[in-house]
Amino acid sequence: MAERAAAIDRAESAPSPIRALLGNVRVVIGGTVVLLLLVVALLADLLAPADPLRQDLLFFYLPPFWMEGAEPGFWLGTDSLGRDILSRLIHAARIAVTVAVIAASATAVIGTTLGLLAGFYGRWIDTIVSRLIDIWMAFPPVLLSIVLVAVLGAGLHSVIIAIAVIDWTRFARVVRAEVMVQREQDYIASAMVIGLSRWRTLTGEILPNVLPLLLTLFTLEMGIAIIVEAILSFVGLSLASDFPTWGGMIAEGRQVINQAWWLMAFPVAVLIVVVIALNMLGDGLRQALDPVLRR
Amino acid sequence: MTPVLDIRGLHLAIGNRRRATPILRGVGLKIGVGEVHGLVGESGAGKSMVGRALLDILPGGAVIAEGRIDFLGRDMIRLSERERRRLLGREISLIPQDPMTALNPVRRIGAQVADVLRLHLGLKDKAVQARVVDLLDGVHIREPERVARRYPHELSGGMRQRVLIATAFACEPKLIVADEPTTALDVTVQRQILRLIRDMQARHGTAILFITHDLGVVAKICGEVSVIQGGRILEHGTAEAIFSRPAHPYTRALIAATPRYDRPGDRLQPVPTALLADLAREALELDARRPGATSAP
Repeated sequence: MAERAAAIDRAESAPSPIRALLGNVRVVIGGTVVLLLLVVALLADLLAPADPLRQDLLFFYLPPFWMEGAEPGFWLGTDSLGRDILSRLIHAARIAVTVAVIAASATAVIGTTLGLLAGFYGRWIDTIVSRLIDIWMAFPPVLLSIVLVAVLGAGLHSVIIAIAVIDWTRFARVVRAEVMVQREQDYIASAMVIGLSRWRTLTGEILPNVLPLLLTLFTLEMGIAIIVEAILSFVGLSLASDFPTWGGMIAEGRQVINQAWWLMAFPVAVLIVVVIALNMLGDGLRQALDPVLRR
Repeated sequence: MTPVLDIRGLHLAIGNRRRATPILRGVGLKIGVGEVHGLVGESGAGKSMVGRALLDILPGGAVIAEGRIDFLGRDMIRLSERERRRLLGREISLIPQDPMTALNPVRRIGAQVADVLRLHLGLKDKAVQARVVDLLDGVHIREPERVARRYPHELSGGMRQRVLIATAFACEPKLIVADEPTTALDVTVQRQILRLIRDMQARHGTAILFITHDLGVVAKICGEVSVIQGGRILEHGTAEAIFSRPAHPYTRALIAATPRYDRPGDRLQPVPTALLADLAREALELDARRPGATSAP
């Protein structure tokens, strides 16, 4: 049949998303570091050479292994109470990852829900959400988080709640804008025309199109959550001070930076590497997922 | 016999109460069972708005001021959202203008065709799959099983338009709005798509509101034609009458402005500006006579 022959099958297979991801340098480098961080956090008990809380007052301020006066077994030296810095870094990673994952998830859920509703339904819902975002963004986030944690009381829960309460605007803003773009697309009109309800259009048609964006935002948010947790533990509003957190270690090291620079240098370095890796991963995800899905 | 679609005195405006710009000025249109009715007009004549009003996908700010859109005797404008949704997709469907954007980029073809089957026919997984393949086969897509697993960007424009046509006919609707279904396609594909729509129409006996600016397309597919300009239906009649004995000067001007393959030597005449000015003045006078309606400057 002539018609059949004319309907040329141009279905050349597009590169799979997985392959696109692995071909992206940022995703590979960032992803590797993040994966490493996750493994370290999960296996902290096995990987840490010593108990992070064990004090040894004979060996305080030991330098890292390549310097004179280093003791075998204490690879990155010890702090003022003779606790092993490497072990403390490893255990602190656990806290950082916990906060990053839970806080970013909570932030994503709150922000995405509000952003979807505001962007799709518009009108008074959009007005309320948008004004809320405006109000929220008028506060300096660090100050707000410190106040919040001070009110809620120090501790990991408060840190997570504070991050979610403050940072949902990031998701809400971006998701709202993207939904407004998607809502005007023809395929949404098509979905409405076949009789799909608004709710199903929102969850079944629009949400999948916003998903790559969410993935990117989530990664970036994890980096932000880790920084905020470090800030709060730096000012002593996170966990009790003997338990290792990167921020807490930086605060301790700051006081003796002239005698023992490594106390502060290592947690700072780890923090920088992790946050850069998360940002790279987020950037890479956006690059890798966009051209496939937004053709 | 009740017509499938009976639009009467449809007034539509964009903007708020104070400064509403009239888009449709009392459009009337009647389509009988199984008829193909062409709605012809230039860009901005309001032809797409008629279809959009019927399907309840008007752009933001557009409001129906007055009129009825009776589908099988029921006024679509005054139906509840729920009742309207039951009709849309099942009794009335759409073949959209641009097949490149009318499919969701992140969902597979099969899943998108399946939506309407699950929603309106209550088919379950196995039956849905089989029916989707049947439908794709019905619009002459080769290897329908494979195509059903593809994403929209993996198909050509013509293939996507076939998918959309399959979806439009999926529930055997009484009426299909075809909103410039061939405009976004290149000429060779246009012909195939047009023939496909005509064949499907003949097989299912579906009435079609065929919105287009292309008089050539109208001549090929439509039984009845309405000419719309400035939101008004200027002339209505059978396609044969419109082409052989156009009564309204605007219709004559439109025909004179269309290239004809049987008279290749003819010079094309643009629609005279004086005529357009006359029509615009008439429209403004009509607006002024409508109570409460003011037109924006």
